[in-house]
Amino acid sequence: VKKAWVHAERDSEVRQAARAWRKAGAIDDRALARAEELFPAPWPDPTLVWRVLAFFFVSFAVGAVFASIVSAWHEHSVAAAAFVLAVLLAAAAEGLRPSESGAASASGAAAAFWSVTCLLIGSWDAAGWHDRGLTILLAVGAVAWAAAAWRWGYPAFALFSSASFFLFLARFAGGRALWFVLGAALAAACVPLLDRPALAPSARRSAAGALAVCLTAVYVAVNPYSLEQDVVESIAHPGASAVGRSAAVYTLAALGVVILPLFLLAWGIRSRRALIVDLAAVFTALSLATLRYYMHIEPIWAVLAVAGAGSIALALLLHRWLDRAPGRERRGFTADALFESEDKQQALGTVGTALALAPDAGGPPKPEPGAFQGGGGVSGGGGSSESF
Amino acid sequence: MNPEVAEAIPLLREKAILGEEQAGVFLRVARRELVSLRMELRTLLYAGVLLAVSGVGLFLKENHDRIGPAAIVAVLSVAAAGCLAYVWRRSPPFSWASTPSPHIAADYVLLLGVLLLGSNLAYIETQFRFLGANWAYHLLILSLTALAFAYRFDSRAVLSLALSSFTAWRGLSTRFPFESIFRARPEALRANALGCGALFLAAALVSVRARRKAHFEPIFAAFGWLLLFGGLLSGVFQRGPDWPLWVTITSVVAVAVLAFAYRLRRLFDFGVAVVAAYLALLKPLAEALKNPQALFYSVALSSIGILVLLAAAYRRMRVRP
Repeated sequence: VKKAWVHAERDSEVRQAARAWRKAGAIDDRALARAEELFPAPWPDPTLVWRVLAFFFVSFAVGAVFASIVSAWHEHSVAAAAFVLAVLLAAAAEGLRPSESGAASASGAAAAFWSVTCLLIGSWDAAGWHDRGLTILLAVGAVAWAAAAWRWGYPAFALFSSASFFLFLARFAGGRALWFVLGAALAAACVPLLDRPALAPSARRSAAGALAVCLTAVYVAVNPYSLEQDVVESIAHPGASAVGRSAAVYTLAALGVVILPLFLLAWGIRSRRALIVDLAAVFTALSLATLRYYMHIEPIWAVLAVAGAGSIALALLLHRWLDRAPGRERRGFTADALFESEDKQQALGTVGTALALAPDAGGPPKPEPGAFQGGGGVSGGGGSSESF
Repeated sequence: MNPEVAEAIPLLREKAILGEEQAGVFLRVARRELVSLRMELRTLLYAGVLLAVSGVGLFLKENHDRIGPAAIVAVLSVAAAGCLAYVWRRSPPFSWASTPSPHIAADYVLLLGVLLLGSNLAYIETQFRFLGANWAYHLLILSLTALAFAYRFDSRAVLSLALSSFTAWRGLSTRFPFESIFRARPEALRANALGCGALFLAAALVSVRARRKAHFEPIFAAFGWLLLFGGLLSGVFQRGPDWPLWVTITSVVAVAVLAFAYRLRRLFDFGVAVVAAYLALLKPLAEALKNPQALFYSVALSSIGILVLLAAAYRRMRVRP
């Protein structure tokens, strides 16, 4: 990332914090204006609508240009067309990235995404659309996404890069061991980067994304269900017969899925890192699901209902515990919103309800005499997508 | 930790932009000495509602013949009533204005209660067939009930459920919108989409004009625009001969919405109208240009043109007072 961009990013961090303080009513308009005057460098932060619009039209343009080049140069030139587009789009991303206009900046992000995607398409076509080509594609993906994240400062690209890297590792014999060892090592390497002031804010966020992927890789590597189903091994050899493992390995794996979430939870609480606490919560949920799979806890409806009621009860208890503490905080954690936007969280809930909890338009199927057929989501089936 | 903000706060304090106490609190947050778990708690509550309602769905499926309808209806009724009583006890008095949520869980427990009520309603209808051939009316009942609860307890999530239940009553799914498109009787579905869209937009207008839950307006409007343009575009891309008429109508409506959204700086409405107008104009373009390569070039150029226009619109929307 260029120096000027880093400077603008840093100013933007302060400006955004000041706006959040203003929105929460902690400062007035005058204080906000003076803070923005003191940290003036503009760094675009387009809204979701502009991002979606830009991505939609850039994708249309890229798809159409690609199709026209391929149809003009004939089908065997897919790689050439993809490489040409990758270069053109990279140039566009470079030009648009620092733009003051949110719409232009969002277009730059979409151009950067398609630049790397075109590079990957070209690489795969050049390497041949076969098994070895896939390994090359993943290696190129890991490097290209990392380079794009480093150059243009998009944390999502760091996430793609890390994911590509672990998929690449899975293509080799001993992929699972590599996931465990390199996942742990890279996670340890990412931690000091999370708060390093010398890094640009986007680089720190990229490190956080990479850390999340590394820890996920470690968790998948030790999960007994993933061992039994050969989740990692099937990336290299889809459909291959299962690898036999001793009971001791499964015992160690079972210990792993208990210890890892607990370790992360303790670390997250101690260091007050919400990301680590969130990962610990997700891994705990996955470990409980794994436990249910092996313990054959039945019936499933009771498991879901208890899990649901348990989640709600846990949230209520946690909220109460934090809320009743002196100063409404414990160990540096609070249930108050501080300066985060509650509007965004509420909007997510509203969209989630329409997408996951809405009734099925088909209505209930014709019932057999005396039989209940709920039809999944009918009248608030809670997103249960099964047809029954 | 946010090093930039942590470094800036002493400077802001020095310049008297922040007070001593303010700076202290902001600095604790920037240094990660104080961390909010609000979002995590909300996510946990939402996941709880999803899991619980899924469990209830499976419970109904597996136990209807063993337990019997009366017991199931009783259990669901008690559970729903418990949730609603919890919310009722904690809620502030009704107001047409936005009311602050009394508790972080109130909205989610209300949503759970209304969903349980809906499951109960569907179960009763499936078992006892009170509505006979008009079974779909139970969705309307659910929609109206959810609407009443949304207004009483000022819940956007429950309003969203009310509107999606209403569209489900008219045969349109918000969970699987494309499934609706490919269903039989596209003309009837299109008419329903246009009707629902117009109704929701009217509700949005009334909300603002009458100042009755004006903060619900964006939800009514979002559902309204999506349904309206979805209906119009289904006419544009139909196989019948009258698509030019639908292209014309869609273009006229899109231009009107663009002007309105640009004037009032309504980004979501602006975005939906831009996409709808573009998609509508692709149809005559594809019909006129039989050569695929010419079509590809045209799509590429027009997309780039739209991006340039969007950048210009962005600048003007930001600059205009």
